[in-house]
Formats: sequence, structure tokens, C-alpha cells
Amino acid sequence: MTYRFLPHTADIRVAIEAPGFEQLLAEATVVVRGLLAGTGRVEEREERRLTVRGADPTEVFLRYLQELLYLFETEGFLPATVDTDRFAGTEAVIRVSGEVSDPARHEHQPEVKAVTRHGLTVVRGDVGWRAEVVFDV
Amino acid sequence: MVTAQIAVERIDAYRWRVKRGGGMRTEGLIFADTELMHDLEGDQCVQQVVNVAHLPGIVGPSIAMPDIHWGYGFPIGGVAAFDEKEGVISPGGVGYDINCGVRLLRSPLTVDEVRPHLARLMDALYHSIPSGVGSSRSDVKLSPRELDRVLERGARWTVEHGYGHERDLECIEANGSLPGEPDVVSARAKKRGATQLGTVGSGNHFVEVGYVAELYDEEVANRLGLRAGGVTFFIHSGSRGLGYQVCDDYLDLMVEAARKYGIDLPDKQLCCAPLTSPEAARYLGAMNAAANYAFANRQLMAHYVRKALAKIFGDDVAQQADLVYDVAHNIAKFETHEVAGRKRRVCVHRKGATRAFPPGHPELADRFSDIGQPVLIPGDMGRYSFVLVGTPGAFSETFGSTCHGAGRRMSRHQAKKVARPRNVPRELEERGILIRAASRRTVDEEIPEAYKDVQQVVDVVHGAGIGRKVAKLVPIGVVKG
Repeated sequence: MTYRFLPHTADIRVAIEAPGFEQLLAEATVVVRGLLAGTGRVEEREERRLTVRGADPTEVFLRYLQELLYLFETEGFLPATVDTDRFAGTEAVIRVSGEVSDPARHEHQPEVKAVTRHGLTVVRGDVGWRAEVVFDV
Repeated sequence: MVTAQIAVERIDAYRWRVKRGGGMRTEGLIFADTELMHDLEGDQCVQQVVNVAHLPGIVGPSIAMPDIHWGYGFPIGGVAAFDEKEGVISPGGVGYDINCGVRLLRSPLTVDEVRPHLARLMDALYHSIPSGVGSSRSDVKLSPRELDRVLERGARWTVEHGYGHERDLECIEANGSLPGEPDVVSARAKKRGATQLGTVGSGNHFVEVGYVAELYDEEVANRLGLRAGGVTFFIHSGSRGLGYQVCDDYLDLMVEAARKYGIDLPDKQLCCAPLTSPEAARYLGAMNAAANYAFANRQLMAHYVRKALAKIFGDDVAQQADLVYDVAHNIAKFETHEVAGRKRRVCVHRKGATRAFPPGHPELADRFSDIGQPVLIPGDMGRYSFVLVGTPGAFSETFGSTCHGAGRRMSRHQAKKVARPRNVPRELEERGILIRAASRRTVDEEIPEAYKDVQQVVDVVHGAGIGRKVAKLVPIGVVKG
């Protein structure tokens, strides 16, 4: 599993690779956690259960990331780890473990407004999955 | 010159044409000087100008302002007008931060009077206007019914509740109120917006104390209450989480709509619906509601600027802190423009662009009818900002639009790398600019050199006749998210 930041003038553009879709979500969670909490450690203290649906894996991926931003903005919830209980192409049932942001341990980061569809790709290749996504900041 | 395999030819000192090709329905028109144009190499924003030119019903060129940079869907700094019957509306042409915009207040104080009290003033501003990611207010709690009223009435709701004066409304684009429809705003969006009214947010948003450093048109400046050395307050913010969620919700709808109406998209973020469709009507109602939230948000922050002034300098000073103007720079609006000799009603998308109506436009309040609409162009936190007025040139060439700011030239990653070994707040303090920030990361990402020189941007729009310089403002204190 790996991710790297790609050039973008104003926003955050990331490429993520993983052997399976479930791992792709896990790696994307690491990216989002960094954008929301920086390098501060996030403990697995609470769990949120999510069911995300979309027309295809790209939309499922997008909606999962949107849910993470929504949980952070409305509850201050930071993701630590993720387990995908079920993924069936157009639906994923996911458990996200994490904790509510603690200003003493989690440095304020610039706001991530949204996950965009600009250049959004989620593709399955010979050796696994690859996603590219731009976050509006 | 060729930018990312796109043929761009120079028209004159300030204009470049992107030739029509492929599926483009019109050509592109970029306002820039040679140096700004070179800055765009390696950036995908020119491709985004091309992409916008593919959309159905586009009227006139796909336009880019000199502060153009790579966005999502539309470029930041993009303007496009669409025919009311043949055209489309695209949430990607407005952006997530619906009615992100700026407002400027002037005070009766001079910079010399404020300097000795600046640290206290900055502390008062920092503590009375919450900033940073997810910032919220505990003193302005909106019931679901009150939030709906904000979404319907915008800045008028704020004034009706004692946060400002009736006069303020005359000095806001659209009088601070658009026909918003709370019923088409989702519960998720309302949840995100419930506690954020009166907060500045993060990223490039700010509250800035500055002073008038230079006058280019003293007569117009005086009409706006701007005098050399006079202290001003810039507020840059938008519709916060509520607007982001409205955009997200309607992008979902527009992806389906584009498929339903058979619209080919060069970028999915440009998903859209015909302006005559029910999907467009719903988005317009929700977008206007979010725009109203943003108008109310900036109005409420202006109230707290006045409270901070009252705390440090007394009630008399606060009561004389008048609004110069408030403009949106992420919005889509129906307007009437003359195109090829005939008047047409079009939906003008401005994404990172400012309305710049000329003298005599019927939408302007009487106080601006002979000078044109004030246009507020913030720069970076270390240099300067500008006040302009709208011109007939903007009305005839750019659907009454001009630039909106400096525009980024450095990625956030690059900016952090440059700033990491430095202490940027201290550097700025040594130059007489006090910073109060919720996050050092934001300050690092927003270092002055991460932006184009806004003077250069403004000189292009002034030279091209799509805006006219009135005054230059220099910062002395900035609250960042």
C-alpha cells in the first residue's frame, strides 16, 4: 500500500495504490487522517459504522471520503483505522475506529472543504487498485 | 505559445485567445500579461478554460481572469455565461464555498491612532470571531426555523436581529439577499451550518486590519469614505460547511442530470443540468440559500469587528465603522447583458471572479450609480490589497466581471517547505503586521510568496479596462484560520 502527493497549485492531489479495494479505503483513511490531524497520534477509542453506496467503486470511494469529512466537521471525529466488512462494487459496509479531536494532541490543520470529482479515478489493474483524488482546501 | 498542447495566441498586452478546437463551442479568452501567462505553464487551468468552453449554451468566450489558477471543474478565476434557454448551470462553476466573498469596512481611525493599540485590537478580533477548521460560535445558536430564515433572507436576517444597520444592505451585492429556498437544502447541510454563522473558517480566509496607503482616484475613494492613512477591515469568508455540503449534494444530482440530458463532460466536476430543468431550479434555490448564509456570515463578522472596535476605541468609533462594500466571488446569477448587439438574459458563473458593474447599472444603489460598483481585491497577508470600481469595459467584455484576488502560484506543499525553517508570524511582525492564527500550518501555507503579486493582477484588469483602480490598502494585522 502506498500514497503520494501529486503537484497541484491550490488544492491537495493524491495518488493511492493498494492490492485490494478494502486496503485502498484503509490507505485513503491514512491520507484523510493526516489532512485533518497532522502527525498527531489518533487513538482507536470509538467506532462509527458506515454504509456507503454509489453507482460504481469510484462513487463508493468518493462517498466514503465525504463521510469522513462530514464526521470530522459535525462531531470532530478523527479516523484511526478502518475495517471493511463488506464490499460489493456499489456498496461498502465499513467500521471506522478513531476518536474525537483533542486540540492538545491534534494540531489544527487547514480546512479540507470537500472531496472533488475533478480528475477522480478509481481503477482496478493487474496488481491491485489505484485511485487519484483532489481535495478542495 | 503552447500550454499543455493547447494553442494560445496573444491578442494584445493583456489578452490571450485560446483557439477553438475539438468539442469547444466557443473560444477562450485569458486576461494576463506575459509574466502571468508564463506562470500558467505546467498548471492545468488553461485546459480547464477549454473544458468550460465545451458546455452547452455558453455565450461569448470561456473567460479567465489574471489571477487564474488550477481549480476543479472550472478554473479559479473563471467566468462563463450561459443562455437562459439553451444553457446549463454547473455547481462546479460556482465551487464548494458558495458565495465565498469579501467585505470591507472603513473606520474613522488613522493608522497612527491604531498602531499603539494594535495588539489588543488583534486579540479582540481573534477572540470574538472564531477561526480555524470547524470553528463554531456558542453565542449565536440558530434553531432550525431561524436557520431557514437566514437561508431565505441572508444579510437582511442579520440586520433584523440587531447585527448591523439598514445602510449596510445597500452596500452588499444583491443587497445581501437572493431568492434562497431552505426546503431544497439538505438536513446534512443545515447540520453543518447550524453553529458556524459568524465564523471565518480556515485556508485563505481571514479578517485583516489595514490602512489606505495609496489613492489612484481620490474623488471616488472619498466617495467610498477611503482617505489616506484611514484604517480598514477586510473580511474574507463564505458559506462554510453548509455551502460545501450544498455543492456536494447537488454534484450528485448533476452527475445524474448530465447523463439524463445527454451532456458530454470533459471533466465530471463540470456536471450540470439545462437551466430550464427542474434539477437546475432546485440547485439555484439551494445555491441562493447558501449564498444568503454567506452574506449573513460576513454581516455577523462585521458586527463583531464593530464590537472589537467598541471595546478598544469606544462606541463612537464603532458606530462610524461603515461598510464600503461586500461582493461575492463564487456565484452563478441571472443577468442581462448585451451580446453581439442584442440584450440577452444569461446565467453568469463567476468562480473566483468578482462582479464589476459600471456606473449607471440599475442593480446598484444610488450611492454608487455615478461611480460604479466597488470591487474588493484582497492580496496576500504580507503585501497589499486593492479597491477598484466596475467599468463599462467589464460590462461589455467580461459579463460585468473582473479578478478576485492574487491567485496562488505555489502549491501548499511547496509553501510549507519554504516556510518550515522560518518563523513567518515573526517575520511579518518585524514588518509591522501582527498575525493571530488558529494554526501555524495555515500561516505557512499562506505565506505571501505563495501568491502572485496582486498589484500585477490588478494592473492587468486596470490596463485592460475591466476594472479601475481606486485605492491600495496595506495590512497591519491579520486573523487567519
